[in-house]
Order: sequence, then C-alpha cells, then structure tokens
Amino acid sequence: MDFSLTEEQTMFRDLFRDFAEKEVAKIAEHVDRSEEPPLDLYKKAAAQGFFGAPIPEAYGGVGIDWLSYTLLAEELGKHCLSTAVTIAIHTSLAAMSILDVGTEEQKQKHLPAMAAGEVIGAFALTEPDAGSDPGSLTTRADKVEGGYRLNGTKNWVSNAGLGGVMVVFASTHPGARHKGISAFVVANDAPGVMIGYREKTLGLRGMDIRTVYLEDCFVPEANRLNGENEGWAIVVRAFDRVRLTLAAVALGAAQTALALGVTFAAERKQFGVQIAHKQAMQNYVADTATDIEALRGLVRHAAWLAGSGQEFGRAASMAKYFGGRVAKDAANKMLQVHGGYGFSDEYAISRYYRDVRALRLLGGTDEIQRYVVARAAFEEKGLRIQP
Amino acid sequence: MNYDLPPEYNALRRMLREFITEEIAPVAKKIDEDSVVPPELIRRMGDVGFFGVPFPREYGGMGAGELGYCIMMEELNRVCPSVATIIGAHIGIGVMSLYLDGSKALQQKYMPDLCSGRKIAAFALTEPNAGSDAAGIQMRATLEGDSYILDGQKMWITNGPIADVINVLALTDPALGARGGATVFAVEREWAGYTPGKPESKMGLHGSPTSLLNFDEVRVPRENVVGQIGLGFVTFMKALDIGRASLGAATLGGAQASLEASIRWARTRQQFGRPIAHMQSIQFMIADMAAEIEALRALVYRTAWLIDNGRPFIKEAGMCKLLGSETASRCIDRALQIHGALGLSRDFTIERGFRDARISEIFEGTNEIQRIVIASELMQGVGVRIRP
Amino acid sequence: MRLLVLLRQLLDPAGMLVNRKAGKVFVNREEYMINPADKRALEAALQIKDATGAEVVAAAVGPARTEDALREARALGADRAILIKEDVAAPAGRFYEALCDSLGDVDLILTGDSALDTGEAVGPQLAEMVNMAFLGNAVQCALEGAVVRIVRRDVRDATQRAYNGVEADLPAVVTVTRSGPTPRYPHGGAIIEMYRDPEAVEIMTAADLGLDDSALQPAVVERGQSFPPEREFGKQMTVEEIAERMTP
Ligand SMILES: Cc1cc2nc3c(=O)[nH]c(=O)nc-3n(C[C@H](O)[C@H](O)[C@H](O)COP(=O)(O)OP(=O)(O)OC[C@H]3O[C@@H](n4cnc5c(N)ncnc54)[C@H](O)[C@@H]3O)c2cc1C
Ligand SMILES: Cc1cc2nc3c(=O)[nH]c(=O)nc-3n(C[C@H](O)[C@H](O)[C@H](O)COP(=O)(O)OP(=O)(O)OC[C@H]3O[C@@H](n4cnc5c(N)ncnc54)[C@H](O)[C@@H]3O)c2cc1C
Repeated sequence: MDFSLTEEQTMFRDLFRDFAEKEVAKIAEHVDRSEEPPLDLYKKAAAQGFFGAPIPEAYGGVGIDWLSYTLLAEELGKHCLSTAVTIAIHTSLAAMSILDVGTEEQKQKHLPAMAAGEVIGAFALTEPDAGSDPGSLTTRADKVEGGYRLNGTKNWVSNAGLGGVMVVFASTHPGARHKGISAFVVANDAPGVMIGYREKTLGLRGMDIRTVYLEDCFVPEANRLNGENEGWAIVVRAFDRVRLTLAAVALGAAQTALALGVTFAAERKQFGVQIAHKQAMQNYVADTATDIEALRGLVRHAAWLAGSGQEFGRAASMAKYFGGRVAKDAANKMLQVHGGYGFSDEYAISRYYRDVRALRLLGGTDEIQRYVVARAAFEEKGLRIQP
Repeated sequence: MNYDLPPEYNALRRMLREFITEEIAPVAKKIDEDSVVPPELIRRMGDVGFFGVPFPREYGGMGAGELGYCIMMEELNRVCPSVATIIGAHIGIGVMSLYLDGSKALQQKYMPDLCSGRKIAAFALTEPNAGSDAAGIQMRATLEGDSYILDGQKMWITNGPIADVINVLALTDPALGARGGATVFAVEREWAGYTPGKPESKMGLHGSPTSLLNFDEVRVPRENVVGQIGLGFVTFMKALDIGRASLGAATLGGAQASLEASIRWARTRQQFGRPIAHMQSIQFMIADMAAEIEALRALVYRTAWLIDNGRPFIKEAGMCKLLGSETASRCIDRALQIHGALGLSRDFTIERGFRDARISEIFEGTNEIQRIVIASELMQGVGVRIRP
Repeated sequence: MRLLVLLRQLLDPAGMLVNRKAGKVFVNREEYMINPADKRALEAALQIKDATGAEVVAAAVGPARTEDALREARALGADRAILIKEDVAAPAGRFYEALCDSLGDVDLILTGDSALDTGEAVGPQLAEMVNMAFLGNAVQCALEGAVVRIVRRDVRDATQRAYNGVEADLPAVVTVTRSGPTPRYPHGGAIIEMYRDPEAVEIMTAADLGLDDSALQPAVVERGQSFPPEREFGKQMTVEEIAERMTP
C-alpha cells in the first residue's frame, strides 16, 4: 500500500495551496464581515480552472482525478469556508450532475461556461417542508406543450443569488415520492424564477443562500436532466459527491484550527511559561491532530474508491459525518486554547468555530449520514431499514 | 431533606419571569443586533431590584441571598445572555467585592446607587499578560500623600464602557507580588486619567460591552481602598468564587432554554411523514439534555444553599461553572442540530444562543482553571499541593 | 381616605391543558395568579395612593394559598392585606359586606369587572349591599377631593374608539377592566420581605366577621365538566366571492 500522492497530485496540491495561501487567506475575514461573496476571487479561481477542476478537458475543465479534487476542497477549506463550500456546491452538485447524466447537447451547452466560472451552478432540492426528506418535495413540474411548467418554493439554495443556473428538482408524478421526481436545468433569470430572501447565517457568511420561488416557470423539455421521474438517481449521486467534497473541506478547516491553536499556545505565556507546556493544552492538540489524521484516512480512502470507479457512497457519508464532527471539535478545542481571545473577532478561530458548524447540516445532517451508514451495514444482512 | 424552594423564592421567580418575558424577551434580538442594551430597560430593571439581588435591603438590595441571585441569573440567561452578563459582572464580582470587604463608609457611599442600577459596577482584574494567571498582574498603585496613584492597563473588562464604579486590583507592593502585595481600589469613571476603551467586537454577547481600561496616573483617595492594603487578591478571589455559582445558574437557564426550544421544534417539525420527535436520534438528544440539566440544577441550588448557610463551597462553585458551561454548550449544540438549517439562521434564536453560550467556558476562570481549582481542593485533603 | 381592593386568586390558565376528547382539564402546573382585572384595579388604587397618600387595603376570600395573592399585593404597595380564610365556594359578596362593616370608613372599593375563570362580577352587587354609588368598566380612575372620576369605553360609539368620563361622590364602588392601568412590578426585595413578615397578611374567618353558617352555603356545586362544541373554522373566500355575496 502506498499512501503518497502521485507526482501529478503533488503538483496540483502545491498549486491549490499556493493559490489558497496567497489569494484566499487574505480575503476570508473581509468576506465574513462584509457578508459579500468575493466575486473577484471567484474570477481569479476560475482563471486557474478551479470552477471546473474535475470536469473533463473536453468540456473546458481541468479533468483532475477525484483525489486531486478533494485536495482542492481541502486547501480552500483551510482558508475560507464560504469560498470552499460555494465551489463545492457549484462543482459537485451542479456541474457534475450535468456531467453525470446530461445529454451531449446539455453538456456542451452548460459545462464550458460553468467550468470557466462564467456561470455558477446551484442545486435546488430543499423546500420549507422537505429538508432531510427531499422525497416529500412538493414543487410541481406539470407537463405542457414542449416542456414543463414549474411551481413551488425552494429554500436554502446556495449560490442562487450569484446568477447562473440551477438544477431544480420537482415532482412530475405527485404522490410517488422520490420515484416521481425529475430534474431540470433552469437559468436563474428565466421568466417565472424569482430569487428571494438571502439567509443570514451563523457562519459561511460569504455564501449567497436564497429562497427561490418558481411561478409558472416554463422549462423546455430539452432542459430536463435524465429521464422523466428519474431525478432521484441524480440526487443520490450528487449527495455522494458533495459529501466527500465537504469532508475534504472539513479536513482543511480542522487543520487550520489546529494550526491557529498550536501557534497561540506556543506564544501565549501564563504562569511564567508558554501554555503549550500545560498538559491540558497538549491533550487538546494531541486529540485534534489524531482526529485529523483519522479523517484524512477516511477522505483519501473514499476519494480512492470514487477515483477508481467503485461505489463510494457509504465511505463518503462516513467521511462527511466524521469530518463535520472533527472540524467542530477542532475549532471548539482550539478556541478554548485561545482563552478570552478566542471570543474576539480579532482572532480567526471564532470564525472557524461559526463556519464549520454548518458542515454537520448541509449535504445531509449527521443523523442522516448515520442512517446511511447503518443502512449499508444492515443491507449486508439482507435487512432494509427506513429513516 | 426538602427540595421545595421557600415560597418567597417561588414568588420572586414568578415576578422575574414575568418581567423578563414581557420586557426583555421582545428586545433580546435587537440587543444583539444593535450591540446595546437600552438604558431605559436598565433603569426599569433597576426599579424592581435586578441590580442588587443578594445584597441587604438597607442598601436597596433585594436581600434575597445567593439563592435569589441564582434564580435571577437562571431566568435572565434563558432569554438574554447579554443582559445576564452585564448583571453578572455588576453583582457577582463587581459589587460583591465591595460588599465582602469594603468599609462601611464605602458601602454606604456606593451600594445604594449600585443596588438600584443607577450606577453600574465593573470588576477589573485581567491584564494583557495576566489572564488565567491573575497573580501575574503588573498594574501599579503608588502611595502619594493621602492618595494612591494608579497606573496601568486592564483588558476584557465587562461593563468597562458603561461602568460608573470600577473595582480594580493593583500592586501596592510589587516586591510581594499579587498575593500579599495587591490592593483593590474603587475608582469612579469621572476621575482624571481614567479612560475606558471602545467595546471589543466579539462572537457573541453583543449587548454586553467589554473593553480595555486605561489608568494614567489616576489619583484615588485612601478611603477608596476596598478591604485591607495588600489583601486585594484574596478579596477578588472570594468574589470570583461566589460568582462561579451564579454563572452556573446562568448556564442552567441557557441549557433549559435550549431544551425547551428543542422540544417545541421536535413536536412541530415533520419529516418523513411524522414529527421528528418520533426519531430516536432526536429523542435521545433531548433525553441527554434533560438528564444533564437536572444534574446541573441539583448542583447549582445545592451550592447556593452552601453559600447562604456559610458552608465551604469553593469546590462546588468551580463545579457549577465547569459543568454548567459545558452542559449549556452541549445543549445549544444539540438544539441547533435538531433545528436543522433553521438553527443556523440569524432570524431565529438558536443561532444567537450558540454564539452567546461559548464564552462561559472561558471567562471567570477558564474551565481548565476550574479543573485545577477542583483538583487542588481534593488533593489538599491528602496533603498534595497543586500548582497551576 | 381608605381604599379597599378586592382580589380573586385563580389558577393560571397557562399551566392548564384542555383535552376535549377525554372531557378533562389537565393542570400541568398548579400555579395561581391574581385575576388580571383585579390586578389592574389594585394598580388603579396604588396610583391614587401615590397621588393622595390614601391607605390601600387589599382583601380576598379563599383558602390558605390565597395568601400568596395578598402578599403580592403588599409587595406592590398595599398598606394592609386581609384574607378571609374560607374554603367554600360561597359568594364573596357577603364576606365583603361584612368586611366593610368591620373596617368602617371605606371610601372607595375597587375590583375587577369580572373574574377570568368564573365570569363572576362582585362589584355591582356589593355596591347595592353596602349602599354605595357604582361606576363600572373603568380603564382609568382618579380621585379629586371626595369625587371619583373614571374613564371608560363609550359603549354608544360604534367605532369602539371613543371614551367618556363619569364621576360619582364617595363612597363608591369602581370596577376596572382588563384594559385598566398596566400593573407595576413589585420590587423583588418587597416580595421577600412580605413573605418573611408573619404579619403581612391579617387572617379573618367568617366567625370573626360575625357571619353564621347560612352565609357559607356554596352558590355553585360542581357536578362535572362539559365543553362547548368545537368551533368550526371559517372558509377563506376570494375577493370575488365576497363581492358576489354582498351584491344583493
Ligand atoms: C449552509 C447551507 C447550505 C445549503 N445549501 C443547500 C443547497 O444548495 N441546496 C439544497 O437543496 N439544500 C441546501 N441546504 C439545505 C440542507 O440540505 C438541509 O438543511 C438539510 O438537508 C437538512 O434539512 P432541514 O434543515 O430541513 O432539517 P430537518 O430535515 O428539518 O431536520 C431537523 C432535525 O431532524 C433530524 N432528522 C430528520 N429526519 C430524521 C430521521 N429520519 N431520523 C433522525 N433524525 C432526523 C435532522 O437530522 C435534524 O437534526 C443547505 C443548508 C445549509 C445549512
Ligand atoms: C467577554 C469577556 C468578558 C470578560 N470580563 C472580564 C471582567 O469583567 N473582568 C476581568 O477581570 N476579566 C474579564 N474577562 C477576562 C477573562 O476572565 C479571561 O479571558 C480569562 O480568565 C482567561 O484569560 P486569558 O484570556 O488571558 O486566557 P489565557 O490565560 O491566556 O488562557 C489561554 C488558554 O490556556 C489555558 N491555561 C492557562 N493556564 C493554564 C494552566 N495553568 N493549566 C492549564 N491550562 C491553562 C486556559 O485555560 C486557556 O485555555 C473577560 C473575558 C471575556 C472574553
């Protein structure tokens, strides 16, 4: 077994790291305070190909492998979670869904612009009454001449305010739950689409998360992704991808939290010595470092499964579930290391503490990830469990 | 054994809860957003006695002891941790140092205004280089004729920007260090050379202003020495010990609010065709919260009883602060999880609770310091002296 | 000048849960409160006290727990509090009539216009019994010398926004509505003091007031509980539908 990165992967990592340290790190605090998505940064990132990293070159992307893609998420997650999650949703949920099941025409139409960052992707699944249970969504797509008419409300749609396109899920067969869901690619400025309220959140304040209203929004048949009533397959695979990506973001965030804590503990003196000499501080650091390595193992393994074309859903759920916790614990312990300074906006650690909390909710909550993992375990015994 | 509170305390809790629900709850969100508590609210709270709960009636206090004080902090922190922190710093440590060791004359001079909330107190111990190591303070107080000249800087002082009377610890005999050579002084905000800094920008507790305090040759008359010259550190540590019990009570209120919100939401929110209350993942989170809260409640009220009955309480007070802050953090974290994405929204109370709760694990002695305090109390019994 | 305020203590509805199916009222939290309109009557009396220095005597009929309501009244500023400690559901009027006799010199009696739980209104009857003028449904109340002046909603006015002033010579009975003056909060210290003072509430019995058994017969006997039928919700109509209905 060889744990090292290939030469190419190393090269990509260095590229991502270099960009994240030079460009992303410096804007993160401003993004959090101003709550403005850093559009200039997106342009720079797009110029480097980061909005289309895993998209094949044929569609204008860079065509990197899964492991390298998780390295991108990790390096971005180290410095600005808002940016990392924005790109994760754009890529793993929106663009790769089109890549996954789109027709050649759909791919040609959307992917080059998305890979270039000119069009930012969103994924409109959640509704006010359908969160953990998206199968119960009530947005309707009624068949009309030449296409469908969409009506309903979506909320917590990341990136929806950034222009671009959304993959919208709606019911084409009411009552059939997930067996009656279809997916559509809808431009944010299409008639009948209203981009509504922007969420004000604990963390990830640089993300543009919206409520989206669809009112008699006409979508031509050509914009349907996958077959009619075959939208759920898209959701399942998109979740696998985004979970793995978010786990990598968590891995990055946890590492920065640890680094901030270690630096602080090495400098701060109390009782005549650096607090690093106190075992309580050492234990926080040791626990966090151990968690991070365990998480890295999960992420790498899941990325290997994904990259080698194997089923990776269970591994992605484990990594995401564990990652959300590790990142939260890391930020929490390292905030404690900072003492009173940890509560101050002048120190970055409190931003990490706020930002990472979302990782235990989006892309499926902790409880849902555990269900997915348990389901896989019982399936081996031939037992099917329900959420 | 009798676990019922005396009837006057039930009546007091009822009145406080009514006031807090009617007058504070509707503005709690605005207090967070605007980073200020309306002075009118402070005045009205003062009128019913919030600012002097444990202190005697003759000073305008409520005369309700530590028990009454814990009840008030519990009720207040359920709804508005910012206001609870202002009062906690005012009563629990600020006025408390005056009350414990101040001269009769000083008490008569300041306590009536402080107990009625017309004046606000602060407790200034922490310095840039003296946080957990409070004995590492460097601020100087030099005797000059009949006055002391105070020079130095304090930081992270709750109520700093709004305090009228500041109890501050400074070295009167640097050779002896803080233990034996430090003295508490009551300083008035108008005195020349004293300037509070701007409120710090913090993750939570936005309504509770915290700032640096600068002392530039502030002349303090000898009458304003609180307690004995050289024994100020002891005064401050005593106040902090008592403060920890009431901080525990505050965290109890916060945790209870998290539990109640979780129960309400679990009953209302439906997923997979039924209220999420039917999911064991949710049930167990709620059960764990309730169990931890009950344990905390027993500890907090027992500690209040120890204090009111003159029993040793230092270890238990440390436990209140330690267990309480960690329970409250766990509870608000679970509440946030149960609320799903809504828990992250600033339009809803859970998010504010999450930001506000975290500091209790840090201030009034970090939880690591509490563990040291508890362990040394225990080890002392077997003849081992622990150093932090 | 002596004001008598009559208070009724009742179960706080916030702690109750009605289960129609089981035909039962469950009391989750047994907590008592002062009838809201009575509390406003007390506030009106305290405002008169603040303005004129009049003496305020609070009184209530009920079991031992009713002391809590009277201690609260003392904490709020009543000078005396008298509990007529009787456990029966006898109409309170007889007791209050006797109490007025026993106190003597009562210039003004204030109480709520009705009780939240039973709907009972003591004021009008009592006014007849003690032969005093009666002014009902006050939202404000003030004294000018020996004249009491109230403000109340003008029932003749269809807009429900007009008020009128009425006055009467003392002695008089005034009832105050739930829109009366907003009650103050007591100082917490006063609560503690009033609970710790064994003499804060004077206790009297029917015998002390010279009342015999006939006064103590309950006026109401509880036979069981039944509930009015579930309300049917209205239908939401469009503007067109409304317009259609309205055109004759
Ligand atoms: C920052 C952020 C960005 C997001 N971006 C997007 C996006 O781009 N597109 C999109 O479609 N959605 C997005 N979401 C929505 C996200 O997918 C949902 O929040 C998530 O699926 C949870 O749904 P909910 O918030 O409605 O919580 P609920 O489903 O209401 O859950 C409430 C609680 O109940 C628990 N629960 C629910 N069902 C069960 C069960 N069966 N067993 C045990 N526990 C259960 C949950 O774990 C949670 O603790 C985003 C959310 C966030 C926070
Ligand atoms: C909002 C707020 C309000 C405050 N209000 C007041 C106030 O009103 N008055 C006042 O005087 N102060 C106040 N403080 C200061 C507060 O009491 C200190 O922040 C606290 O005591 C910790 O000190 P520090 O921040 O310097 O952290 P440090 O002491 O630098 O601690 C850093 C980390 O090291 C750990 N550590 C330190 N020593 C040891 C040891 N020996 N063993 C193990 N671990 C150790 C700590 O536990 C912590 O995790 C306030 C602080 C805040 C944030």
